[in-house]
Amino acid sequence: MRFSKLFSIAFAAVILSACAHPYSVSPSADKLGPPIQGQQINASVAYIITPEQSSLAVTTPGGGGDKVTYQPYRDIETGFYRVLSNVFTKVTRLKSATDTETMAKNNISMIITPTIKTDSSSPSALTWPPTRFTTELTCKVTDKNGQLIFETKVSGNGAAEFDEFKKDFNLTGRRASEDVLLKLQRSLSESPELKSYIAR
Amino acid sequence: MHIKKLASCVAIAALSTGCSMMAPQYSASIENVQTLKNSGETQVSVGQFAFTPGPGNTSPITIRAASMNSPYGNSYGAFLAAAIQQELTLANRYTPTGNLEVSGVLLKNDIDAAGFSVGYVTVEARFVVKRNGATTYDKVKSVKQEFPSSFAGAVAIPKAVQEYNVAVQKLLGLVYEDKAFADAIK
Repeated sequence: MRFSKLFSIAFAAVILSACAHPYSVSPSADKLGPPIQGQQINASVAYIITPEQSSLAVTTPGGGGDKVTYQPYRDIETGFYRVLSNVFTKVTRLKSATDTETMAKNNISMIITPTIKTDSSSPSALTWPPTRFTTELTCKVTDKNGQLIFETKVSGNGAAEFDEFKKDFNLTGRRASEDVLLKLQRSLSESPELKSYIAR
Repeated sequence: MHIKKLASCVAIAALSTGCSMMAPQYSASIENVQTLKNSGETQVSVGQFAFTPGPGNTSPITIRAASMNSPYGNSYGAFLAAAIQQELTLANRYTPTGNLEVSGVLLKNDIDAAGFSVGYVTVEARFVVKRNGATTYDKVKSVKQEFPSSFAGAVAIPKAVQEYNVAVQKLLGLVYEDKAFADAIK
């Protein structure tokens, strides 16, 4: 009897203690659309996401006192690449700013460096996935000598309630990523600074 | 005391009830995309990946008390085809129709998340390249992806879901890095 009580307490402690749930903020590829032919900026660009950024794990609040843990750079990279491919005619990934060999080989004219900030929350006491998610994405666009050409900061929001996320725990994070990436696409494609830099 | 007992029962029931969920759509690997880009510019179409459910080749995939369906018509063969199509598209090498086609058969598809400290995703497929109907590549590639798991299902299940995508990325990476495959789609 004493053993079963002890076991029950230990079991309840493990089950009910706040924990960090693995989470993903990867956007759905089909939400970001294909490039609009004829409207792309005719430039070969590179972006830098370092291996350290790719493996960076971030923990933000979920519901019921729990937290969610994810890797924002790793999760968003595919969508980021797609958005850049929609805006520019050629996109290459760089692992560092000193990767001059790849820059020369691909005739890179601009380098894009993203910074991602995220936050999440949920008023629920019973479910752990966040019901609100925010992603802020800042992109610095420089020439190959590091001179700033354009900087943009966009913010995306994702929201979902239990009925929606009970079959898809990552829904709010994914929606925030899709929102922020579509805003980034608009910001880059409508930037007069980028167009005038290419036209020089 | 009554309320405490009731709350415990509800919590345990909620946490142990099996549920059905949809896997996230495939998220491409940029390294795979770069490999495809570097291996040529020829346009490639993607055919069907056959899938016959059986032991070790499951659909939906059981992850403890939960089950995970493919978001592509509930078919994991279609998941694999969509994954290749997505990476070819990002590499500017995809065409919906053409004389060069990748297709295949999904042979193993399973997640073992029963362990409290380690889990495994197993994916194996036959990849076939046909040029004008003639087979120029036919190989089986396999990945057994190990991942850290947990006693708590609320940690182990989402982790297993994430790792399925990683395993498929690795499987496709093995195919694209195979020189015979690169030559077959040149």
